[in-house]
Amino acid sequence: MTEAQVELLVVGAGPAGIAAACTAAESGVQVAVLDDNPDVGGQIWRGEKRSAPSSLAAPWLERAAKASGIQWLTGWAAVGPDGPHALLALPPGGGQLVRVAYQKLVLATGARELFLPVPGWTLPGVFGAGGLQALVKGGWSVAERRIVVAGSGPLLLAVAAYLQQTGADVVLVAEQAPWSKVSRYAMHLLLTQFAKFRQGVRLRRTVRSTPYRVGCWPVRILGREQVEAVIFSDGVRRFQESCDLLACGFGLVPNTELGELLGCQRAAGRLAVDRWQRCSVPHVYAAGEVCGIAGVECALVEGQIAGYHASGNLTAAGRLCRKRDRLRRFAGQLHQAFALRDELRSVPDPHTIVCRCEDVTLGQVREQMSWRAARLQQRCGMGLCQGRICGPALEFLFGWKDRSIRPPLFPVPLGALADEMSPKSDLPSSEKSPSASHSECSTRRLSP
Amino acid sequence: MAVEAYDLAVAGAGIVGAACAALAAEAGLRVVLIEPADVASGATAAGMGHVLVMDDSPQLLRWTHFCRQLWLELESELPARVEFRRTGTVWLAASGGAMQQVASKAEKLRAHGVDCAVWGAAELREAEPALRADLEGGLYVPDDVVLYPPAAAEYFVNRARWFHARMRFGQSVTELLRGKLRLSDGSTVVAERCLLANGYGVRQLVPWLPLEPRKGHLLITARMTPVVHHQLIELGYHDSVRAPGSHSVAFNVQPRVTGQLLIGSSRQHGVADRDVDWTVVQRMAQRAREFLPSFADQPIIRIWTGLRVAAPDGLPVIGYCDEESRTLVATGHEGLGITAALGTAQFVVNLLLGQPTPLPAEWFAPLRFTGSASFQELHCD
Amino acid sequence: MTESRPGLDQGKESETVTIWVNGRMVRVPAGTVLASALLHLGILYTARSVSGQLRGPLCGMGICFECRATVNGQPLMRTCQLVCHEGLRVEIAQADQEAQA
Repeated sequence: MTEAQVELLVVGAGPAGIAAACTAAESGVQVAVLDDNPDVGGQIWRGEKRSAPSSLAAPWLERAAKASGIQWLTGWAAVGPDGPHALLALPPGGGQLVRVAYQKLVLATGARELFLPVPGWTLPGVFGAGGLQALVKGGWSVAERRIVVAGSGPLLLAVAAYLQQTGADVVLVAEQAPWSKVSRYAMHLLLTQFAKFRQGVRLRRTVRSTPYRVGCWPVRILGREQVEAVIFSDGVRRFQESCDLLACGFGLVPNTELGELLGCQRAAGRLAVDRWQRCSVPHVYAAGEVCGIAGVECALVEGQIAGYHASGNLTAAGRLCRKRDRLRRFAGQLHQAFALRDELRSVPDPHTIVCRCEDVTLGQVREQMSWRAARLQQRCGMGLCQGRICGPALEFLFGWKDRSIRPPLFPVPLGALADEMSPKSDLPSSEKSPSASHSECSTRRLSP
Repeated sequence: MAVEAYDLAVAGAGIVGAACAALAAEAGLRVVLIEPADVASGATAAGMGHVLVMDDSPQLLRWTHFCRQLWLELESELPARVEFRRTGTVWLAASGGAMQQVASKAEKLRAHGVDCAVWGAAELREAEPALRADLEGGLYVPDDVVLYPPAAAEYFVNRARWFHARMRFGQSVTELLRGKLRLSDGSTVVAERCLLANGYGVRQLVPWLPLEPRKGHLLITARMTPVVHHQLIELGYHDSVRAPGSHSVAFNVQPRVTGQLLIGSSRQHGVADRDVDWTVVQRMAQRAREFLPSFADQPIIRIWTGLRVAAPDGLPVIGYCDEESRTLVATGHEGLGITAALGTAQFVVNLLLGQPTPLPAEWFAPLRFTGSASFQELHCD
Repeated sequence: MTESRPGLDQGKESETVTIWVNGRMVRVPAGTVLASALLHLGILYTARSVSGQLRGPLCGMGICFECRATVNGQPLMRTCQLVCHEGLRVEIAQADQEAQA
């Protein structure tokens, strides 16, 4: 184990983390940004610096590349807090743990997709919606494959459009929310967020040859060794759609695990923050989706507020609060529009696997009274993902919320835990920035 | 609504409380089991699930041997979920002169009728090829058991239910009154006697008991092809320092049915917080890597802590803790709660029924800490 | 796998790295995510579950561990979080490659 010190540690190199790091670094604070992903940009800007970045991403990626005093630690996995002012992390390629001591911490850990158990969802070829997009961005060509995109939320259309552009044959986009809610949301966009409305229309036009069906949801996924078809229900009738791949996500879940290990309070599944993005634990900020799903613009604003406040620039932070509040309000509309319907709770049958790591079925879990009992008696959530997939699903199905988080956040080799602490050293010098080429950053070993 | 009256209220549905409730209900007592959280969610869940004979003192040797025997007799009744396996324990001779320790331990165990075999380097290597090559040998205790404690506790709870015990989950006992107890929701339970089997929590209701927390850490690997076959413990495990605030670490590894390895163990005296202490984890990992060098790449997926509860003399605290013989406690097992669950149940039920206890009642009596001369004499060893 | 793909810089298209998949040498464009490279090679399942089911990547972002494989000797690595680099060796213990071909 080695030890390094920074003034501000940002965990998560997505939009919120980038914004926090840039604003703080530009105020003269020494910053390190740590992210488990091989590259900066988070999920939403995945791969953008290599292709043409979007108009929103470009200035930030450029700003991040220019800012001096930021160390980008991509491919580093957070292991767990070591007291209130340090985080243990594992550099890419393994090796020794590094203890990163910080004065202040920004949690910009983003969100993951919500997966709900559907009979057959464990078949290969079933991906998350954002999950499939990430793998295609990573270099997998799905050209000419028949893909069904299902689940809920505005991400579905974005993913469908992206896949279509790469040459995939998107045969259906199936949104569980009813037409009444989706149309009300579209009207709301038209009236209050015209740019977003236009963006939606553009996406829809990209996949204009593909049916966009609302008010229907997958009830069974068919296939022998991989997905072959999906059966949908609209509450009255069922219909079947053949496909090679299914991209299915039911919205997003904040990644609150590190915050929880630090003792930060959670509210409604997200980290609770005050006006300055401060968590309940002193010196810890949270920004972006980890504070509740509100989209990239809100993440950028929250990241800036956290970054400014952490570097003592209260005036600049204060100026952004109203914008943040407006974006948060807007997010509220989105949650109403894409609220998950009750029928989804009766989709899995007793034999449907809920915990994929330990192959625990709904029938086994349903006998238990709580998360803790399901963990102890059925090993539900005790596998490699530590309940990150089944936890939110069970929260939706049964209202179980008390999922206990244990370190390490990600598996750590025994040897890495065993290594002796060596004298203090600096973090690896920041040769690497968002402008560096992709292959360089991910292959270089960053052990000090 | 008629007030239900019970013969016995048990506080704590850990493995000890659940086993006591089951046996008392089976003996015909009207029992209520009170638990604030879930079955086995305290020290029972945090522990290893190793049923073994310990020889730290003559009392402990007799006690653990008796307790283990009850488990062995129960084997055929336990559901598969309990994962009961006679893996045996191998006490490893790690340092120079340790083979002498092995010999004297073997002698002690055999004198009490505990089956065991001294293994030389070659036998050890054949039985556990993953261990580092330079170990001189070890002591094999074949009848020690590995099981999954939460499932065992649930089995006892179900057994208690079968014998008509009632459950009050989501409640804790907040106050002991004459002939009844108050629960955290303000309600009262009428019970002639009360058994406090809620581990360290006993201190809240019986503050004069000199119970000390001894925090332990455990690490668990991901599933893998099983390569360790016995519970492996470094000999001299209990020789370590015992000063308050100090901690000791010893190699102690358990193969789980899942193919996971449970890696212990640490002991921090007088520490009651549940935070993961990375310097302790580091020492445990170092120890495990020393003994199982090929395991350095194995991923650890979870680390947690638990509190063992111990009395100063290292013996459990079981028996009445008041002059009126209304309140009993069953705690202080210090990491041997799984081993001692069935023995404790037998002990408690015999006390309740006025029958002789399987071992001298004074050994474990809580009143030994009240300073009365008769108890002092018993504990001059 | 040299055809043009979105998400990869056209200028880098010619740069490739050599990786070893279950001992077989494969050339992939520099910058390709390992899980994506495996999928591109037709390896749709990387793991076998506790009860023996075949599993492939699900989340694509380092959460679910369904894309796990042994990479450079280190077991249970999330291939979706790794970028292919020269000489990378990946072992997919459970996948029956013949069946997937």
